[in-house]
Amino acid sequence: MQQTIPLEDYLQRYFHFNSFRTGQKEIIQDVLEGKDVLGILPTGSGKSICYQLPAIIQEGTTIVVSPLISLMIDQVKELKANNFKGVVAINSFMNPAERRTVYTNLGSYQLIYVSPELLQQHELISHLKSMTIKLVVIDEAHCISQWGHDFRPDYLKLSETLEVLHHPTVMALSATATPEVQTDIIHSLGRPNMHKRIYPMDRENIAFCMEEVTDDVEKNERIIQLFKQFKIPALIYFTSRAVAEKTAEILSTHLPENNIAFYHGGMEQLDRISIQQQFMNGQLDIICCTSAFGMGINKSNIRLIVHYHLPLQLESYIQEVGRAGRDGNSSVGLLLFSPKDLYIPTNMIKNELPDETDLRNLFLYLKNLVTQEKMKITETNEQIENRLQISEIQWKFFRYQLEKHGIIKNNYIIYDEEQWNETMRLIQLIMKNRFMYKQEKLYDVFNWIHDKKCLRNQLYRNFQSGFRNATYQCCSNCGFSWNKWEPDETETNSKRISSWQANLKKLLLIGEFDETE
Amino acid sequence: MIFDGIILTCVSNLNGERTASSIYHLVKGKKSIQTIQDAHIYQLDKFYGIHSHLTKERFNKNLSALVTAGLLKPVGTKDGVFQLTTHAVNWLDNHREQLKIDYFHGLTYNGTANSFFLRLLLLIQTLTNTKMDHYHFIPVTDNYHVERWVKQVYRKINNNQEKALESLYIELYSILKKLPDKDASVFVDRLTGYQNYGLSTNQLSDKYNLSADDVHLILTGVIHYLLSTIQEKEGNYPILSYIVKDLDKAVQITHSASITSELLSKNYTIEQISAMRNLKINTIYDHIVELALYEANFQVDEYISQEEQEEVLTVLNNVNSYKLKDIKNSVNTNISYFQIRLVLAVNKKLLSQGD
Repeated sequence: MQQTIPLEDYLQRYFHFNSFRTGQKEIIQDVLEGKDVLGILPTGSGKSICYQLPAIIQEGTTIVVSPLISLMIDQVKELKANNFKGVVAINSFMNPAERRTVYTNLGSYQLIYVSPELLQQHELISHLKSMTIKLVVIDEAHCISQWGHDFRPDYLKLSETLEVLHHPTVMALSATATPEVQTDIIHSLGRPNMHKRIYPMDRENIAFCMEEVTDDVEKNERIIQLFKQFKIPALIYFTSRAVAEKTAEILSTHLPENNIAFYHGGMEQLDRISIQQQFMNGQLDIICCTSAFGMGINKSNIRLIVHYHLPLQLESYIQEVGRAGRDGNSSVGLLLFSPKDLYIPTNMIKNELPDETDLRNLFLYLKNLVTQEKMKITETNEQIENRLQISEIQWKFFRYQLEKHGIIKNNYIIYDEEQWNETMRLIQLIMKNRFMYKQEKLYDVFNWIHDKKCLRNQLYRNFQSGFRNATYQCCSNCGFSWNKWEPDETETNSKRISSWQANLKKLLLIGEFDETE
Repeated sequence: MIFDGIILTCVSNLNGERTASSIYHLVKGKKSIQTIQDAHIYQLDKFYGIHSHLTKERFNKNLSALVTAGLLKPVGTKDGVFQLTTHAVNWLDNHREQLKIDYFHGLTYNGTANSFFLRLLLLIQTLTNTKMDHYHFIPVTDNYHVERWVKQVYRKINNNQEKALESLYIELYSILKKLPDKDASVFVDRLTGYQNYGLSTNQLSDKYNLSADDVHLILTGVIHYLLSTIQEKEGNYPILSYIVKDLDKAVQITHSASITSELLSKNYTIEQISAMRNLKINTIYDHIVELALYEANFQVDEYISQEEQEEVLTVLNNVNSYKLKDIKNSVNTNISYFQIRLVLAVNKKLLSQGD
């Protein structure tokens, strides 16, 4: 292909960076040459530039499939702020009128973000079919893998979609994918010749620290003690929303010098943005959060990531701890666990997957409809989820299997006793395998936390060959000491309480407050 | 406490004629004709839709806490129907000042309050940031319509941020100063400016020692107060009234009801419409009651004769109850529930026009 202007010039013009970060240029060149590529890049390495830049300089349209609506919307905003206007995010929050306007002008966009669910929609597909789709990007590609820690059944239909769109170039991206997940991604997309671009995810400026305590009370004491010693921006990860809220409250009373808040997916939009941005802005020091926090967060000076509960997989741990120290300065990942904690994750895995009773209920429900000669499924997804008492993801998983095995076709039930029995057995097997797989993943975590060898080595060894030595301290098995840790500390914000009149004046930049800051 | 006060006031006005879940639907702003009609009948229209973030679970918790505290007691054996205890009557009297009930104008502003507030928030954030030459900020809201509106206004203001901010200050200050300091303070802390993001619901509830429900209600109350003050004297508040100017104040009839209305005007019968739209007859009835409430020239005579209307009104005065069942039992058996509801809807409209 003809390329007269160096890629670096585009990078400077559209993104204000002088040079590419590791991996970006290679991946971009691959797709510009029309090669399918699987890119595994660590979090915070600028994955989005890998497709945004080709989208800007190539003719035709780029589609980005992403499961994270808020992340999509953030990226669209950033691009628009950078004067790139040919971009749109199509999501389920749009009202029908808005969506129709976007659909009729679809051809005018160079970059279209869309959720995997919406990409299954007839109306959208029929518009896209008539356009020149140059590149399809599968963001968070590990979601396609049944072994991935965030399996999304909708992703499995992407290979069909690629066919309908006349076989565009494909870029699959993830920050976390074991070799088996990589194989699964390539296989599911039906692109055996995908070019692999795998980059190491180890972080030499993060030290790993494992501490066993007796219970949650001791965890709290430990955390309080640490934040009395260090005044630093930090995230504390929880698996339960309620515990995150409660702990934020406890910490607030014991650490009056720190500004602490909680964050989870159950909060309303306005509150979520405000907590996230207060943290970015330095108005908050510590956030007690669930895994909902952090995607797309670009704060470079987070110094400490505490895990209050055990992660379910090492992959998710690597991703979460990787939010520390993006600026390259000394940071720590601390995992606190008590013997009691070992039971929680197993239960979580059990609740995540549908079980045999759910499966039996599903087939009873379908059989019932058949007996009543109601071959068309008229209930909505939500109604069925309620009826069977299963989660959205669980129903999607079932539905995908039913469609795959021809039991449901275009919303009609097709009855064949033999086929049904066979399918039921198959689904049972898949569920069993997935449970065992997740259980194994959990054992990896258990093994890691009890490991006596170098934690850095043991954490990364399944994901890459070799790793860089620690720039600062290494890990608690290699002699990590809190007393030798010297992180960049932040200043104490004075919690001066002033009148609303003064605050309003200051906020609106009136009068004497005009020149401050 | 504010929320408790509102629940108690509702129970008191409902007079044992509605269950507690009708209070939930009322404050949540359910767009059902029953809820809106109740709001009118029991003079609870000020509370309509003032707490859209409420969950059923939290509402029930609040309710049982009030029972435990001896402020509410069940009426007879009827499930979910409550009445005030003497203690509650005194409690309401003693707390009248703190309950902010006069702030609320739910039915009037429920449709516009949120858009107004989001516009105000994003406008302040945009003006203060751009005044400081800071063009990369993450907007507090990603509501598409609000963003588009602020963009247009921003172009008009065109480098006159200083003046616009000054006017905003003067206008907001002059309204907020009429309120108790605490309420004004909660409102101001919620606003976002340059390098200063507003506090979340939970942060406000910690700082001011309020329940999360009360934080929502104070914010909504202050917003309604701003809106009603602006509406009274638009000339005094040029910027603020500009923000509300094009927001549609009227409670809109539902989309579905407007389709029914169109078909009625083409002389289709209720049965035909029900069949055409694959909707239950009762749903079409609901639509017509909705039209009766909001359409100025609704022809009630087409559905019930003048004599029968008068009969319903007479009974209404005699039984002194808005409970449909009570009325139905006392009128001619030929008169249907649907007809009674129509008479109530139209009649209520006349009453509220009077005052």
